[in-house]
Amino acid sequence: MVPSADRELVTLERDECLALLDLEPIGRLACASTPGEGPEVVPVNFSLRNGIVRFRTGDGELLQRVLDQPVSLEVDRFDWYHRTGWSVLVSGRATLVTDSEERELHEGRIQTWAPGARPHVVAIDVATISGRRIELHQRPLDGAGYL
Amino acid sequence: MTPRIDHRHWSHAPEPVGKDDHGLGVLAEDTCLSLLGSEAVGRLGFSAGGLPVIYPVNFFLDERSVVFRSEPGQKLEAAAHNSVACLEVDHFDTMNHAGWSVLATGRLSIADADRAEALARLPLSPWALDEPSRFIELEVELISGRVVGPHPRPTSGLDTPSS
Repeated sequence: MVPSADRELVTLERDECLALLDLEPIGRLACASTPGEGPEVVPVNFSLRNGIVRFRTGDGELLQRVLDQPVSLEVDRFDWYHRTGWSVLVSGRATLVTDSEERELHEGRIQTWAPGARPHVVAIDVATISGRRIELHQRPLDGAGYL
Repeated sequence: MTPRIDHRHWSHAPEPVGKDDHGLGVLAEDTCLSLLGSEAVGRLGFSAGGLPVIYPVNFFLDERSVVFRSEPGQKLEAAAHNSVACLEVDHFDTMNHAGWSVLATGRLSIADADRAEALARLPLSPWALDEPSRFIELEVELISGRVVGPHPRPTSGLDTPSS
């Protein structure tokens, strides 16, 4: 286990955040608390194109909860052995894609892993994006044979 | 030693007890708690200034309390207000388009001095903390989980964990 003194939390640039976001097939979508309900975090398959995050959903509760509301999407990767990792958070308003041509185009681009019909495409216009990474500062080897 | 099931290995995917309206496998509450307890990093979701945010945290599950540490910031502020928050843990298998996720919801609180002393004995070691931190707890009131994807394929025996 690498001691925590040798690691540093680094803030990621916007470009790095977008590049990392683009790598991931699954993100975690957060809806805000409402008077009757707590916050919710659910995994979704998503796509990123021209700074817009899109995901598909069915006719359920999720659609009603997110429409025209502020939402966030998080992606991350962790390295359990080195105890490092990164995470990126994007936030913006969720809107329903109503243009049928645009909807069909994006429906085809987002492959969902979950069963069930997901005919609606929801777009998140990314207003803010932030990310952090744990950087590991490896000590130079001192030449002693520890193995 | 009791064999420890590694749910990160897809051949040990959790078994659903039924299906929800969307066709997703529903996980039993004790399965959800066991999955939550098997993870060390979760994603804390809460509202900060009316906006939903998600931040990864290193945590340890003590009975039904999710324990983590935080430096001054949004998480500590939410805990100071006893806000409702949720912790999500998941694992996905990109090859099989399969995975599971568990969501635990409750209220946040900052541990007082006595409690913090007890919590300091837990095997919790944050990966990265710069500033003085406090112990925060999320007492799990609701927990649910879902599983998607194919049933485990028969294993060749080569990828069976030895323990």
